Amino acid sequence: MQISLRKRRITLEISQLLVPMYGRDNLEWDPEDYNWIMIKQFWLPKGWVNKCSASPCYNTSYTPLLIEIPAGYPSVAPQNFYAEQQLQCGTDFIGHYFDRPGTGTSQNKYTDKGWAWLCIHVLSWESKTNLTKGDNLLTICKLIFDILSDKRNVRRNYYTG
Amino acid sequence: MKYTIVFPEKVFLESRKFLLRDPNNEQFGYLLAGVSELEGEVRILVHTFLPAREREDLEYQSTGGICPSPRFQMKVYSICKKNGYHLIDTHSHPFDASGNVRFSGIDNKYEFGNGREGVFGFTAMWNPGMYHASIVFGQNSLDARIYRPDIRRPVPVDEIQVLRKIAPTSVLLLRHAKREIVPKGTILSSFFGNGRVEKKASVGTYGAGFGGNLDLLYSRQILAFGKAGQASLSSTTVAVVGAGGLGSIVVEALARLGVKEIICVDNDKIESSNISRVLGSQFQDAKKRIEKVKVLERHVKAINPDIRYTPVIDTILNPRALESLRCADYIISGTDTYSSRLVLNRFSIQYLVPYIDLGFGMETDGKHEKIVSAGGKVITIIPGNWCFHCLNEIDQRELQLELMRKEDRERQVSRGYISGVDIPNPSVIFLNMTVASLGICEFLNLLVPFKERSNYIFYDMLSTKLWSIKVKQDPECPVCSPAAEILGRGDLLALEDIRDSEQIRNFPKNM
Repeated sequence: MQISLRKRRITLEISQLLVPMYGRDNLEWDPEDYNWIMIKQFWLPKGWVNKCSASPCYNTSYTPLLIEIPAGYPSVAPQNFYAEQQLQCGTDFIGHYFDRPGTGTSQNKYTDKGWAWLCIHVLSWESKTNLTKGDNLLTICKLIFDILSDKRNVRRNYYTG
Repeated sequence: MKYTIVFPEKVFLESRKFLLRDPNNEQFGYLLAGVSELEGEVRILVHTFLPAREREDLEYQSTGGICPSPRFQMKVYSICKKNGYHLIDTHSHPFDASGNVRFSGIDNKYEFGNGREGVFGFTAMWNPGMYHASIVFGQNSLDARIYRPDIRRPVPVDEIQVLRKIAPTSVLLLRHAKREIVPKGTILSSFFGNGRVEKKASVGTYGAGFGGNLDLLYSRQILAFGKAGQASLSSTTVAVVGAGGLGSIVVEALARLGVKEIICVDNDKIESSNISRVLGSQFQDAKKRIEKVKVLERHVKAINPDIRYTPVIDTILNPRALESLRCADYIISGTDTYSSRLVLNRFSIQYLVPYIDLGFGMETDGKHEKIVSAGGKVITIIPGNWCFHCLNEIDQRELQLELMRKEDRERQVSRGYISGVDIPNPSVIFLNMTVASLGICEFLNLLVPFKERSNYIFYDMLSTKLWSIKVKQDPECPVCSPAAEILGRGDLLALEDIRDSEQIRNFPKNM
């Protein structure tokens, strides 16, 4: 039986980094191919409200967050993540960036499943054997929080991290 | 079946130093290893040395004998069973300076003398599937054997290779080896069991197309490297990844140098724009859209019909194509992409195969009328030292673009993040030839050393300057550091596809 280093690494990151941070019950992941991990209630930065009335997080500062894990992980950084379709920042919905249904040019194949798509343009990424010394799924979660914190950049549809 | 043991230099020197540290007492230690099972050959890939350093590690120790304690034995056997490792018992005969060290009667009795009661028989029963070998180190030679459970006795190991990063004279063993056969300081310093040095490739069949007259064919090279150097070349298999502007030059050079076999990997077809740079390509090839590796096959066979040439029409990102490299002694890549570097770098570390990476770049002014910068790099990875990851030169954005799915690419184009149009880079044959020649020179220097090695060469074409850059291993490197547990693991680790599937992912429904 051959070992998949990718699966071993993701399992380690989940157990050592994500579970302590978000709690086991708050996490769900692809049990076979480890292609995604979901944080059921991801705390949003100040100013953000979940306006999806069907969501258990309605009118709160939480969203479900799904991170797509690339096949080349951990050498390749995640770049796609998905969140609630009706997130509101101040008085704005950021339709273009979130690529919600009905925004005209949607190419998001997961709108029917209730997901809005965002992407991260990671320019620098260094994974290390010591999980805490390098980049990992937790640093991606923190990066997503930072992206959402910088509302101005989100509105410009621009981010480099 | 041929049995080969491959050592990273660091592990070889560490184990040898420990085992010969005391001229009055034998020493003992275990080597943990991965394996690469090939057709007709088993390569045992050493990665870790566990010395019997403590008093409780040994049952007894004297000038003429040594035995590990049952506790130490079981501890190591359990590590192997748990992790899927293979095992080599090592001990020393410090009194033997003959240059022809042999296993003693005591060694035979301990290892297999009493049939299934020997350690070989025990581990074969307790952990079936584990290769169990043993090496005895003398002052000036070594001997090795491996247990065959099917015949219930050990057979000699055919070859021991040491992957070396430093100048040849610093390795004591080579200086004391039988000089007349081993090319001085060869990177894969090879030894047969019973301290005998490797028999070089038979020239009886090789060169048949030239009436077996290799001296005539390679007479000028033999004047440079000697007959032993030429024999090393003609017993070497080289995998060339990429059959374009760089790779085709490398393939032609290898064919003319007279290597045993070339494995060439590329999935591209010849286009008219390739003819200015891809050696062996012709106008008709572009018209018929012939695969580059097929064009090179014709070219190699025209140069020397005796060279074995294996075309692999696939991208190296496909694990199946990568697997075809397992029988290579060296890898030379001219693909110049981050994704191929990523997989080849890990493959090199995992299977202990030295890897030379070639790359070049050229920039012109806005009007494409004048070259404003141009140059190249030749990077040589010797497993056990540092690797491509340690350089921290992987451009994450470029890497993501190379690996991007069609769907993601379309999304990013629609958002204006990327242009969606492939803009060709400027490329000219003389720059390719310069970089490829530098790479071939480093390859030859690995095989038949004639100069101090430059593991990272940077070439600036406009200033006509070359730099040799020193690199250190990143102790936290996720590929080559011991903690990464990739070095020498061979078949234990799956060769994974780093390309995301084009299929729709199995995302859960939100809520």
